[in-house]
Formats: sequence, C-alpha cells, structure tokens
Amino acid sequence: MKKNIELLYALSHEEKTGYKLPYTEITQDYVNESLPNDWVRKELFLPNVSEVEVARHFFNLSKLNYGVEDGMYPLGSCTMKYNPKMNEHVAQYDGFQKTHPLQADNTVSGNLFLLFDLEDMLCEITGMDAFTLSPAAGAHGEFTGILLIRKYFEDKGEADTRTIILIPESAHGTNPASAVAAGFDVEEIKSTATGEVDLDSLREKLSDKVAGIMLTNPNTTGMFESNIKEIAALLHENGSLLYYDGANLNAILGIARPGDMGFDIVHLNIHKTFSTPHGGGGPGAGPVGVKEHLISYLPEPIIGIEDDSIELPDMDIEEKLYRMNRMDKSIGRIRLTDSSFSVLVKAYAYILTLGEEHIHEVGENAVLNANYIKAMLKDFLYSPIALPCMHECVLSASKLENGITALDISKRLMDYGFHPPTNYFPLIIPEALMIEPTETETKEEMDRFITAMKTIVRESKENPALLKSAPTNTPIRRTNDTKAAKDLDIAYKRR
Amino acid sequence: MRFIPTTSSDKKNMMDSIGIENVEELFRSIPSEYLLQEPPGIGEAMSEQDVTQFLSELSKQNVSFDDASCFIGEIAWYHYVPSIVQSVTSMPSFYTAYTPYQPELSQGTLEAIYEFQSYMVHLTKMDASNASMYDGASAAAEAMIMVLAANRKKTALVSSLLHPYLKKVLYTYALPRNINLVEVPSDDGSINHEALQKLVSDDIGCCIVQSPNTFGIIEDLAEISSILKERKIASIAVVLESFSLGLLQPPGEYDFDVVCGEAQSFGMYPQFGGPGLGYMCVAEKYIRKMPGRIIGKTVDVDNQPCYVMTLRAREQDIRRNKATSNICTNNALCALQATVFLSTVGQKGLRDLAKRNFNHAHYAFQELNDVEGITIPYKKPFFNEFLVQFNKPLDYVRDELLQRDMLISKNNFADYFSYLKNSVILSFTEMNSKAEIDLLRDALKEVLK
Repeated sequence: MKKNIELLYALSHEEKTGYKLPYTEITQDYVNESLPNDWVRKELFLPNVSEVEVARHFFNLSKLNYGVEDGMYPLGSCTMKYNPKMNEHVAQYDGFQKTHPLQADNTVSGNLFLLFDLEDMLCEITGMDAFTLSPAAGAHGEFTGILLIRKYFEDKGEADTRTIILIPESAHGTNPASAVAAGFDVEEIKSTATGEVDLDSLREKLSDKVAGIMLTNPNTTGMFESNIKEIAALLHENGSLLYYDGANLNAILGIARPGDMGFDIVHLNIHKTFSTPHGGGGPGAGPVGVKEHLISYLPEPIIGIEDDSIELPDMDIEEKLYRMNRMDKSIGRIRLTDSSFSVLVKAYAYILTLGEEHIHEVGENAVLNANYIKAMLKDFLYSPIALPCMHECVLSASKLENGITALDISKRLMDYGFHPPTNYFPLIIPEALMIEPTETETKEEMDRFITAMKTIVRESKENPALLKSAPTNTPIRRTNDTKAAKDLDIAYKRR
Repeated sequence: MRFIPTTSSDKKNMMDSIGIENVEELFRSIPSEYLLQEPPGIGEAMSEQDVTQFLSELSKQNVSFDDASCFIGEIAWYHYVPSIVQSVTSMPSFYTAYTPYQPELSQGTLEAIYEFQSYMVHLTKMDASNASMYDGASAAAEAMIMVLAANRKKTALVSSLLHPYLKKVLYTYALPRNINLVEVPSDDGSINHEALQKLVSDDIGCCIVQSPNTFGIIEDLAEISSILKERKIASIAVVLESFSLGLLQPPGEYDFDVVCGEAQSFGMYPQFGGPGLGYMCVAEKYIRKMPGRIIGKTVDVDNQPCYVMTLRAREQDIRRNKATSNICTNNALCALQATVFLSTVGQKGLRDLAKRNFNHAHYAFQELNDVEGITIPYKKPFFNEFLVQFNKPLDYVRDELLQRDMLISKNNFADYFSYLKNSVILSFTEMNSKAEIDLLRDALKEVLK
C-alpha cells in the first residue's frame, strides 16, 4: 500500500487536463464587451492533471481509510451500521437527482409524495404528530428544535422568563452548544452512577425559568432512563417541554417510541438510525418531529401537515397535488434549500425494506449484540454499570495497570484490524470505551473483536510497550497534534 | 432480514453468554406501558426489487432535466457532473467512513479534505478554509455570528439583494442571538453605495454582501470593500454560484474578511435541494475563530507527513456551551465530490466552464431582450442569470412553458420586491444549448403575444 500520496498539485502540468468542453453553437465571446476588465480573474491556482491521475489519486487515498466494509466499526453513539447499496443506487435515479428545489410543485409530485410519506412513517416510528425534514444534520435539528421551544414560549408570552434549558452532564456536546445557539442559558443536571438523570438534582433545578430539558434516551452510557415517566411529569407540571436527542434511537427502533414517553420534540439522525452513510463526516439529515401543540411553529416550508384535505394516496399519485406551505407562526427558514433530499431518499428506501415485520429486529439485535460484548468483556475491563445495557456498552480502562489508557487500547485495536470504539465519552466515566456494534454486525466478527480486546488486556500487563507504541500496522502511526496546531498548515501554498 | 446477519443459533449462544432466556429481558428497564404491542404502521417489508421499481416509478413522476430544459438557478445550478466524481464518491471506504477522529485510519478523508481546503483558499483568495458547512446559508449565518462575536458587536448590515431564502436564514439565526440586521438599500439592481456610506457607523460589526447578487448581477466588490475598510467594518462576501469564481475576481482580491457560500455547482446535481455544500474561507485573523472542522498537516511519531483534525478546542464536543457554533456533522462527502470535480476540470477547465456559462447567459440575454412582453429591469454586468419581467401573470407563463417542456423557477420576485411584478430569474449554464435558448425565446414570443 502506498502510504504517502502526493497532493495533486505536485502532479500538475499545464498540458494536462481531465476535462474537455462540450460542443456549442454559441461562439461569440461576450466577456470582453460585457465584463469590465478589472473584474476578470487574473490568476487561479488549481492543479491541471489528467483523469487517470485523479482516479489513481483518490483510489489510493480511499485505501488509507477504514470503512464499514473493512470490518467492525464499534463507535459508540455513532451507529455505524451497514449502508445498503440499494440506498445509494436509488438516490442516483435521474428523476430524483435532476430536479431543482425551485421547480413548481406540480412538476415534482414524485419528490413531494416521497417526503410526505417519509414524514408519515417517521411519525409512526417515533409517535410524533408532524415532522420537518429540513435540518441538515443532528446538531442542525437540535438548533431547530430549541428554536421551536423558544417560539412556543414567545407565543405564550413567556419568552423573557423561560430562559433555561436543562441538560444532563452525560449529554453530547452538541446539546449545550445548540441550546446556546438558540438563545438559552444552559444548566447542567447531575447524573447518577448509571448516567441517568438524578431526580433530586432535576427537582432542585426546576423553576419557572426552565423552558425545557434535552435528553438522550437511551442515554450516552447506553442505559434507558427508567424514570422517564416521572421526568416527563415533573417537566410538564412545570410548564416545560421535553426534547429528545435521537442519537441513540437505534436501541428502541420498533420497540418503543419517544412520543409515547412524553417527549414534545424529537430529532433523528438519519445517518445513524436510518442507515445512510456517514460520508467521512456528512452529509447527514436531522429531521425534527413535534407534537400537535408545536406544529404551527415548524420551519418553512412544510409539506402535507395533518390535514383533512390531504389523504395518503396509494401508488397512483398523478391525481394528487402536494403543496409546499408555510406555517403561520413558523420559526422561519433554516437552510437555503428545503431538505437534504437525496439523504432522505436513502432513508425512505431503508424503511420500506424494514417494514412492519422487521423494524423491531433492529433494536432487538442492536441491544443483544451490545450485551453480548459486555458479557464477554466485563471480566477483563472494568464495567462501571452492572445492569444490562441497551445498544451500546461502556467499559473503562481505568483499572488497567502500567498507565494504560483508553487511547492505548483504541490504538492497539487498529493493529488487530478494528476501528476503535468511541473513547473518553461519556465524560462522566473515566477512561471510557463506548462500544456500539449495531444490529448489522456478525457474531463471528464480534468474537474476533472480543478476542482482540482480551489479547490487548493481556498485553497491557505483560508487554505494555506494545500498547503505548501502537498502532504500528496502519498507514501512519500516532500523530503530532501539537505540531499541527502550532505550525498551522491547513492549505497547500504556491511554492 | 437481509441487513441482519444473526442466526437463531447465534442468538441462542449470545443469550446463554449473557445469561438470559429471551431478548425481552434486556428491555426490562423500559416501563412496560411504553413497549409497543403493534409495530409502527409503516407498511409491509419490501424486497430490493420492489423498492427499486417503486422508487424508479416515483422518480418518473417528476419532470426532470431529462424531460424538460431547466432555466432555474438562484440557489442551485444544473451543471454537468463528470463520471469520475460518482466513481470516487462510490468508493465504500470514502462514503461509509466516520468523521476522521482517528487519523491513523482516516488519511484518505483527511488528505482529500486538506485538498478541498486548499482549492477553496485559492478559489476565494483567502488565507484559510474550514472542512465544509451544511450549505451556503448556514455558512453565511455562522460567518456573521463568528465575526460579530470576535468584534463584540450586535448589528450586521445585510445587502437587500441577498437571495430571499438566504436573507430569511440570516434572520432565523440572528433572532436568538439578539443580532440586529439592517438592510442596505439597492439602486438599479445592485447595492446603493451612497446608502451604504450613510449606514456604516461604529455600532456595525459586519456587512454581508452577495455577489453575483440575487438578480445575478456582479457587485462592485472593490468599492464596497473600500467603504467598509475605511470604517474598519468586517466584510463578508457570499458566493452562491461558485462557478463564477472561475471567471470573476474573487472577493479575497478585495480584502474581504470572510468569503463563504455554496459549492453545489462543483460536482453535485441539484437533487431537489440537497445535500449541497457550504464553505467558509477567512482572513488570517479569523482562523482560530472559525466554526466547524479544520484539517491540518503534521507528522506522525516516525516523522511521516500526515493529516489530522486540528484546532479542535474550538469545537462543541470540547467547548460545549462555550463553543461559537454547534456544528458537528458537516458535508464531508460533498466536499470530496467538489475536490474530485475541481481536480478533474482543473484550472483551465474551470475557467473555460465559467466563461461558457457567461457566454450562454449573455446570448440568452441578447435574444430575450428583443422579445415583446419581456422587460429586463436591470442591465448591469451579470454572470449566468438575470431577472426578467413578463407582461402576463407568471403562473400562466410558467405553465405555458411547462407545456413546451421548459422549467422556470416557482419564485416570483414580486413576492420579495413588490415593484417587480411577474418577475423571475432565468439561469443559463453549459447545459443549455443554443437550440434550447432559441426555443425558449420562440416560446416566450408566442406566450407573451
């Protein structure tokens, strides 16, 4: 394997090109007569390379990556499940790809049907009353959801007093960042040893200033909030709203619904739960579902909100005309176009495949797999939580000898051909290793992972240098991150 | 279930290891009243053959660019996508990978994004680029928030000629941060420089300008920048049609502090709106204040050159409620698409394509200018789209054109500029041949008669 791959700039030559302009009958050059010369670009520093060099460059780069097809990718909280090939295929249909977001509604009835039906399915899956499909990613969904809370209280004349969003200390970093972006102050609630909301801490923090709470359920330690009913009652009695961070929905997919538990707002991570690929960091999609009392605040535009005039059509959709509408008290527009449509097409294909027969198997197998790994490793690594977990288990490297850390374990796992679990998260568990196998992992691969983990724990006692110097079997080894920040080089400069 | 590989004997073995009799035991922490008795009503499970056939039929219910000529732009453009772009983004270890938190297993993504940042830096002529944003509007909104926070100001000037959707997004983001937006009036299709002069004051933290603007007209960025520089007001330029950077002097040439926008044109079809590709490029002084991920070059313990995510202390997973932005997932695969596209067309190809867009749009301008019933309100330098006004209701004209297999925008600009009755933006790219443009001209002659 080539380890160091030169930038394409290094291969550039003015005679090379990967492109040829198409034929045109418009041969007049209007630039001279219609554009002031001062405004014409003088210099443009991009490489000129041939197509074969582009193909090789990126193919070789791709070989330096670890993907879901390489093997187990047990990143906790990330739900790195298999990305079905069919999803990629259908999203590339010309009839989808070659449509414009500003086409008139009567020319995109296929798209609008799909989005409308997907909204309906997401309502069924989560127990909510309506969805917006606009948010571009999970954090964008959080921002949207908290803006809905803001608008709700503004409408009730309580915007000036309801200024606080409660967030458990075990939460993802996006939660507090999103609440602040949407204009709220954040107060942290203590977590119990299992990462659940500490009810005493919650009662203490509840006041007429509290607008809502953001909860991840199962939480980030992989435990279900067993007091959810009481938490919902406390918040609602206080006039506050419950926000559901859907990062961990995979655990309960087809088994239980946040809408039934009292959540007023839900965001989903389509790129986690609904099998669309992570793409090396995106694009995702973060639809937001709400209960009845929040529908009129949804961002614009909205398709087919529950309305008697719109009936779910069957396959014959030509007669139906869907309309893009704006809710009367909408929080406004949150993005340039209306949705990350092609990501949503993939999720739709996935849900059609699961159907009513199989959707519960996702949650069941995700949870079974995580508990299996936990059972097999709990005598080798410290398991801070004794109870069964949901879709992910959190183990800790804190009891290992010789100064071995969660990072050392993670790096050594790479030498055995695995992507490491999430480490150092959740923050409430020291030296955390958060393992989420997902339902698409085979038992054979999990057994190999378990064996590798046991071997590494043994190595940590017998030959800790192996872990400290790991990885050695990867395209590069541990990186100098201090140098990266100090001698900042974030773009290739003309030499 | 074909995506779940677990057999019943696997299941039995795993349950034995865990010490349970059935899987339900694992769900005991969920109060039983919440356990679903019936599955969610999502219909029967479908085979791949049935799903692909159904979605194929559904996709054909749309009028796509294969069925009709597309003259729509404004926020997304129909450009040709070379085959190699799809080929690269279909490589599983690119599209299935996670965010490159583990650099040892992510050099492919990291180096490609470093190349993306490099291309964007040179295209905009700025000092630094981040690894991507959701889209052009969120990039502009985050730029505004970043600059105002750095300058400790609460008021931003915004051009009244931002695309209406872009402007709406800025208002959505500004409200909860208590940011005041003051609109800079226009004059004859571009920013009124005298009005801008009068608006600049010490309270103003930044000014956001779009060029080409919402009418497709190129703003005089040199003049605007000098007005702002004189009063030390931070300048943010938004470029939504990134093809224009191939022909026009980039905002960085005029000392803009931030250049951001949408790069969907680089290798992505409009896809009914998404995903697109937001980008943000900044002058040196804002590098450490930028939202989102940034990829940097460094070395590993063997002194091998390599790439990592850097300046991480800015981000939400570390800063939590003190972070300047909440962005986590971005549009990395779209950034890869743009990188492959730009690598393929190269310096010469992008210049040629930009010029081709300019020429096609100007041919169309020349042909439509003489059609009776069409008024072109503003006649200033433009890139690949311009505003036209019809003497008949826009809905009628749009339907008539659809009958003739031509698509124009659903946006009637009268909704945003009341004095522009029955007006619409027409956009022309390398995809619109002379024959198509001639047919549009002839159709409009007939329809507007």
